[in-house]
Amino acid sequence: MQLHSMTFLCFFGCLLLLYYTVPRCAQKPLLFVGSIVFYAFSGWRNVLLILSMTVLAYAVAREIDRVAHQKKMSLAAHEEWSEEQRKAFSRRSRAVQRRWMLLGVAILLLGLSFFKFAPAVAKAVGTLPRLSSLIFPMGISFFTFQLITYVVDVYRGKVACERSFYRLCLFSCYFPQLVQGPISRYGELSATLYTPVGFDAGGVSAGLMRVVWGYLKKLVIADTAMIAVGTIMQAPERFSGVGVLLLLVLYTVQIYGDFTGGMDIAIGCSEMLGIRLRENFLHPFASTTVGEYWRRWHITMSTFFTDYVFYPLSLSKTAQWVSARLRHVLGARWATQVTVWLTTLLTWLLTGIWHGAGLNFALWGLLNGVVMILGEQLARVFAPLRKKFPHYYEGELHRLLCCVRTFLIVGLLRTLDVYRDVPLTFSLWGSLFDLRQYGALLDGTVWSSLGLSSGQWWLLAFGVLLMAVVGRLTLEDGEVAQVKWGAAAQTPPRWGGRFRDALGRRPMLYAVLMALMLVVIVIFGRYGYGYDASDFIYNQF
Amino acid sequence: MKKIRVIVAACVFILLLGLLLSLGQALLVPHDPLANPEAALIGEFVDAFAEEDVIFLGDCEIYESISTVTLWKEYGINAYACGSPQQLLWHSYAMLQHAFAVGQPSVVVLGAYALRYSEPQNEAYNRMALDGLPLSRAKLSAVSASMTQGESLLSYLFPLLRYHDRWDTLTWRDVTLLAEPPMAVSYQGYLMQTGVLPDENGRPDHEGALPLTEPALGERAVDYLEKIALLCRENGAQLILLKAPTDSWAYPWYEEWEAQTEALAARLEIPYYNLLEAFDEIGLDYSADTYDGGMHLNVHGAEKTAHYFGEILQQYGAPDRRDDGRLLDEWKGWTERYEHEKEQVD
Repeated sequence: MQLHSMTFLCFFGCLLLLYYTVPRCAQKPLLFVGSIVFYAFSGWRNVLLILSMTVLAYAVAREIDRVAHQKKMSLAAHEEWSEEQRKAFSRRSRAVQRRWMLLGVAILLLGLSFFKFAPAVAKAVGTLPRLSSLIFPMGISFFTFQLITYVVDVYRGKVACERSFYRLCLFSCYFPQLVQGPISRYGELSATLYTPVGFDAGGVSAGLMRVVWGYLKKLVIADTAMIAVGTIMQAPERFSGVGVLLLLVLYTVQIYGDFTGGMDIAIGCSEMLGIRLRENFLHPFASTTVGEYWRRWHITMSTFFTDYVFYPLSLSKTAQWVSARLRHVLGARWATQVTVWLTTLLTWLLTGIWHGAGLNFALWGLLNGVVMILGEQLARVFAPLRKKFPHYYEGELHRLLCCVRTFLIVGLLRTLDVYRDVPLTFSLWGSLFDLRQYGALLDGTVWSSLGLSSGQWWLLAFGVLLMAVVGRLTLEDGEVAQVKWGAAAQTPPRWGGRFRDALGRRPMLYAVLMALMLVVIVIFGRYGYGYDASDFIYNQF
Repeated sequence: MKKIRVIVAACVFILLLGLLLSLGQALLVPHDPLANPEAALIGEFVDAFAEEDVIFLGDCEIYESISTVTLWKEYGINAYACGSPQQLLWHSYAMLQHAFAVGQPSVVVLGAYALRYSEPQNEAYNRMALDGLPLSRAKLSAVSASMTQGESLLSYLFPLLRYHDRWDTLTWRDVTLLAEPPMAVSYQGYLMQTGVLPDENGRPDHEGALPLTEPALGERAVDYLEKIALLCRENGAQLILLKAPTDSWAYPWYEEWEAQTEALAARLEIPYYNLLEAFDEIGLDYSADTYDGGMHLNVHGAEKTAHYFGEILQQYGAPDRRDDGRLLDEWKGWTERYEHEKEQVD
């Protein structure tokens, strides 16, 4: 069931109605059944898969918890043990817990890897045709990552082990986040997921506004940009030079509208149900560096890789061993630095591989890591200049230029995802420097060759402006809340900030905006007969 | 106080949304009859059909093969040709239900060519047949029977959902047409074609047509023919099955279909006329009476066919209404316009 399908609208409408009609004790079971029904639309086998993976995570977490409990009981029962004996016993218990945790994570990752990479491998090898046509289960990455965070967090003692299997199932199957995230942490989501709620008109109306805004971004802006992106993708060589620049911009617009639109629908639906999901975007194109960009774009993925890949890798015995070896050659400071770089690159390589089995994705990940490392080092190089010209470096012009630079870099790297052919991508990047081709921007030939009419170009331009304005309106409070949330997990940020509050106070403004947005979607949206309703890009992950 | 503000806001929302969507629908749903006359035919039928004694139902074989004006001029038959491109029998059934709801035709002439179809065929033709019909149970059931893959019932209830993407091709004429009175493109459903493109053979045949792969008539079409026959009986109307005098490589009429149609008509006790057999008697000449090389008749061919078929209609009780002053006035206007259009080309 696609989030932008009529089936989903009917499904969610009925579920919402029932949710606030049934007794509160029945709300969450209803939500669980609804989530299963939602996922069953993608195939009953997928339901069995998600339930099996949840069973695994549940069992492993319970085992980790049992060992912890056993340790506690044993230590209490053997007060006669010396400190050394107690420490040794604790170490042994911890090692057992660790083995359970690693076993759970390994099996979960194995499942994900099988569905992600087996078809590509089978296709490349040319055998096992049934395997090569294996259908990728919708959202498997997202619920697998969620279950991994749960198992690891139980191991780390960050969250208590969930004793109710049904509650853990609700966590992994909760439908709004199943399609493309956000990747929720058990500690955060459980704060509102299991609490029965009464009808809150403010929450429901704010959620609805966000859902409609998400549909507008997806159906009107992203899918219009997709026409031009599709035209370029069909004949990349024809659109070298200035075409690459346009692709860079258009694909960024498409993926931003598509992904944040889907996220708005997911988070908005969840808010209408009184459940708070974590924000996944924070005005990413206001970023001045690529590092900052990745703290604002697909936040839950970035933090997943930071918390569950980068930190464990950095603190691993292997990293310490590498650092120790390098110390002899490079000295203490550089040895640590190089180890961090290597870990960063490895983390980004894994991020890239998660995005897809191709070389282009691996390279995309590595290049992101390289750019971030280079950025940090160059910042150090330019530090004296920053001190010398503080007015410029702290001014808006510099900030704007940095934002443009970041936009171009991430956009350029993203073309690896579009072309999916590394040599071709490099050759097309090279064509960007052929300045003679840029005249096509002025004589209009390139604009008319991308499959968009002049009306659609205007629509796209207006849509981008609208996204920027709404992003700006919802930026300030969102940022503050995000920072606060980092400190206190009980207060997740609310999208919209003062803009949302203003809408809450002015029902007439809300009504007019809502009507206008719906009309814009109905008229300018790309849906219905004759359209190959494009899936959300992140569904494939 | 806040409750009142919310209620007022909700009312504003509903009114504004309704207003803007209605305006969008009026603008974006194709409404220029000159741009696509065939798409305007059913809308005209719904607006105009009231007390006609004879109704023709079917596809282009119906709305281009028999001149309703000739039927009036020569026989005083007050007829309406309710046709649309590739009209399927479940479309015809819905239209006949509408006809019986608003009028009382005594003779129903049904085109036989659609008997070959058992499945929904083409979204564009579905639209031409169904968009103009008012919402009714008959329309909903015809929509359900007609939808091809990717079509949705909702888009038939709210055509804006289908035509929304026309925003990019709107012209100033689309706006001005909203303020103009409706314009008729047909003459009581007859769509005049004035050109001449002779058929080399001079006679109807389907040489060059694809070989017949599905000789059986459409199962669903036969079901709907039975429903139409029953509806006619219930309303005291005489049903006649008609094959127009055209046969071409593009729209072939095979012997297998002919045999089955004859048998079917006999079983259901419906008179069946295959005008291909009366080609010479009608006096048709494919060097002058077709506008597209024998696929369809032009106005000359349609007049000859009407002249021939008018007598048959009289046999089945189609009355001569030329003594009705009001009808005489109405037909006078249509006839003058008809002759004027014909003369312009002649």
